[in-house]
Amino acid sequence: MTGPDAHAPPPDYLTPVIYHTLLSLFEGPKHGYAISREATERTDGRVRMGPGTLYGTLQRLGEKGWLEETDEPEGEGPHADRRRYYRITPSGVRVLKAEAARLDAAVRHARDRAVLEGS
Amino acid sequence: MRNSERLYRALLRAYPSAFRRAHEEAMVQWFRDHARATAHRGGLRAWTGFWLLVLSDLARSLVREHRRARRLRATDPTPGDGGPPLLDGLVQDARVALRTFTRRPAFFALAVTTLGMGVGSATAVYSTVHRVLLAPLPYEQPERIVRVGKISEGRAGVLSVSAPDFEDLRARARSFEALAASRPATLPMAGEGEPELVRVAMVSSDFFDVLGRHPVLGRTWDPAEDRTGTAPVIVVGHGLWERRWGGDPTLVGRTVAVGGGSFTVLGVMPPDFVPPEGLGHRGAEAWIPLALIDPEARQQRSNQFLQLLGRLAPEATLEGAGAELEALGQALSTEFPEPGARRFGLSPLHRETVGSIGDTMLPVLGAVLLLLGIACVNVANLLLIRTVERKKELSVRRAVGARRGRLIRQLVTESVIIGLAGGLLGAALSVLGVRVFAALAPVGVPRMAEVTAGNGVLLTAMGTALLTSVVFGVFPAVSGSRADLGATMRRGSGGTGGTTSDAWVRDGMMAVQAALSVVLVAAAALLGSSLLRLGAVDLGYDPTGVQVISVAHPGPSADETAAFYRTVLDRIASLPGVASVGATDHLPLSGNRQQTRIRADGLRLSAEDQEFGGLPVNYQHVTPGYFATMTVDVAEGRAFAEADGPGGEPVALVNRTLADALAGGGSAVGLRVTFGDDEDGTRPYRVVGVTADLRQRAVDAPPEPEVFLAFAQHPRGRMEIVARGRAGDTALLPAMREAVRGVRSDLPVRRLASMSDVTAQSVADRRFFAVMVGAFAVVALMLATVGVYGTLAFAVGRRRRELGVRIALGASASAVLGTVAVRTVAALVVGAAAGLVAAFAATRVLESLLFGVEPTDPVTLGAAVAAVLAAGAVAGIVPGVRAVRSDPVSSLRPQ
Repeated sequence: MTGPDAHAPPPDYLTPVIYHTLLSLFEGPKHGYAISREATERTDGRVRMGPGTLYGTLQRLGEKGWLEETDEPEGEGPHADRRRYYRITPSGVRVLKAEAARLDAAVRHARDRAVLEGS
Repeated sequence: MRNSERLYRALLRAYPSAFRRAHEEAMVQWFRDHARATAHRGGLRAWTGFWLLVLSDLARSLVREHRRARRLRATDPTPGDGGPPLLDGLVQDARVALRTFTRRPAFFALAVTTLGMGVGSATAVYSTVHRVLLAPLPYEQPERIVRVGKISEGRAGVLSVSAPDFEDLRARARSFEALAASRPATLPMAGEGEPELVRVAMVSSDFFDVLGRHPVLGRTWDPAEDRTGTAPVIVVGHGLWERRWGGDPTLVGRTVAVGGGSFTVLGVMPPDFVPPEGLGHRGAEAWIPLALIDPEARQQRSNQFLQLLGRLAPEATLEGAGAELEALGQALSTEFPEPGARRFGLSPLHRETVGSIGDTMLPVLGAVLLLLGIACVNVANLLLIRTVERKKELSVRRAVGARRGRLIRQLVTESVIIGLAGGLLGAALSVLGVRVFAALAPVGVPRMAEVTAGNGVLLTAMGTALLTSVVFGVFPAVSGSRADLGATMRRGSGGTGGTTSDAWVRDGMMAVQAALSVVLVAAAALLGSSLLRLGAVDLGYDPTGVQVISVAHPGPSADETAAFYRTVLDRIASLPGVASVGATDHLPLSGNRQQTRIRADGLRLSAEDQEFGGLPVNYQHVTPGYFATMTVDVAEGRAFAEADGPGGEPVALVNRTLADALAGGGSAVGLRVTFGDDEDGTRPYRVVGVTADLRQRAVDAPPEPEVFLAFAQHPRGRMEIVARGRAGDTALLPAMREAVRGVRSDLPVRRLASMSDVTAQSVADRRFFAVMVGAFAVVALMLATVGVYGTLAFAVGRRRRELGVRIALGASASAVLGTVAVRTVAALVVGAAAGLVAAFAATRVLESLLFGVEPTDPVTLGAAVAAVLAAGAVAGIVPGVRAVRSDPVSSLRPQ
């Protein structure tokens, strides 16, 4: 990895903001507002992303190579959406899957010890 | 929407420039999207959440991005990245300021709250006053519109004119390009929807030309259609159109049922069109031609019932038009002398609008400005105290090389942050305040409906707060950053609290706060006292347990009307819980009255009254049960009985005031009276009873001569039915309405209130202002108390060491504190005295709002001074007691 985070050891988890961003993009390319709106809806308001946090995160994930900007606007003709769209990259998918697996394992541990119900 | 977007874009400038270049447009787009989604949800909560999210995200990500930018610069220094040094410096200043505030949260919270409350209330009131008083009227060139009419000595304002005089004026006056006449009316509307009573204005065809406003749909009538006999037409107001017909655009051309007739809808007025003030048709929702008035009334020159409104011709001036009206008045009085000498004049429409509310709005504005003044002084005091406390720190920083400008910038940044925070709080409070104001304001305040809490309000609040905090922060900043390190260090940790001049300034500010508080508290006390006295006035009747409904029976014959009401009253009388029932056509304190003139043998009349046919009296028609239901004392003679019917001798009751005028010392019972323009001509009425004086027109107006006539002898279509039941019986009103519906289901039933509410409504104006000013006074007293406390706590704290030494040497704590206390008490007393003098002058403004108490009432003013001094004393005792209790040893330890 390059950049200012190079000297800090990478944490072995993703922050909720990053996780939900990648999750939204996994479904397909999206623009900024859609990502933050979905995250808020999906978590019933627990994860809130304002524009500063959102675009700062998108910039950093872009630097890490987990997502990229697409150039094609969605839609055709004069009503084509000229916003900036983002698309997840294969390494982003890898990171997302790894995190999901980690979360799954964590939940399984909790279930085994009856912290959470269900099998 | 666009203003907030611009605001956000401006806030984005705080980001490092690289980040901004990359993401500004996307972030603004995000802002727009989210604003759209929030507007969809709507409501105060949604918008509060919106701004909270935006601002907290701004704060957090700003810090993050600047830190990243700095790290990037460290590893790869490229000029231009991370923003210009000035901005960086400011951000650093802000961070230091926030750290300082976190260490002293009480100070910060106090300053922000004080500023917020002062600014918030001031902005709310100012926005309301601005819209109500200063914003231009929604007419074409409103400064050229004037009210025209008769001027009479001893009676204020411009009075009504008769129809023939109006026609002559319109024909002869050159100064007006249009002159219109109007009169108000209330008519029942039936047909689609609930039957309801609608206020309408009957106007001549050029009324709309005078105002320069025309319908947004359809048209108004032209002079040819304004003649007796043509088919009735109506122009409908926008609000009525939406409420009753759902904004149906096909309404124009259709007929609607109004007042028992069929009117064709000609047009719909625009949504921002409001009836002009002063003509008596505030609240009018529709307009019909004046031609529909009874033709006989239009021919009598003595029947003065029209309100005129004119538009000045392009070359005419107010003075010229006034002079012409004077001349015309003389001419008409000579040509047609029967109604007596008439003088005509004019009054600009704006003055009519402002005049009626200027009296009441301006004192509230004054009160809130006092509050703002106290808040500002408080904040200034706090800032000054803070600066003095940090003298040592500042001196050290200067000694090690900090530039004075940098220090000043640091201190001013702190003021700015306080200003921003206070402004945000103030903005939120002002939005709330405007809504509260609009909800509580009595119905009588014109143009209140136009007041909304818009972006202008928010920006005003923020601007005021910022301005205040910067202005009051600069002086302490400049004085605090002076370089006198030696002197400061020599004073040691137990300094005497700043230079002598600083102490004078602090005491001066305390005095100013005391003075302003005295004025405010005095105003509140006067208004409150008036309210109490109003409550104690003997109304002449007892409203407890009395419920009222208004019904209008269209006739057409008097017998039908009489029979209808007889049936309804019988039904209501038999309702469970009803002790007594009656009816009148003019309810006390409901704001209107009808007048006639009365003559009697031995009644002495003034020259003017003789010319016009008799003594002016109010009259109303009542049923036999009315006086019993309202518990009005019939002191002499008797009330109406069933026997006083259509065929019988015409009878009347008079109130005490009229009885005294008629009979001097003797009894008025048995006297015969005649009425001036009663349709029965000159049939004499026999007075059969004398009632106590009722407060009929207003609680605070002295009783006027009243005549009561028997409903059975003069059935009237519109009556107010009163029924006495148990106090607080809310089920009675629907039962009364059902009783009416049971007889005629198509008649609108209105008012539906308890008599206590009607009474309370009549003093709603005064209550509103008393409550408002009272609230301000309470807040002001709190702020002033906190201010005194803060100052004293500071002063005492500064002298802790000295205190410790003296106590250790055996002196009593109270003696030491004595010097501090004397200074404070002196400042407070001087301030209160100055406030008393100011109050003498200022409370005169309240004169028209007061009742039963003079603006310079010594008891009330004295109480105000005492309250402020007491608050100051309480505020002062606490730090003093704390200082005395504290362990002298600990205060001797080096700090």
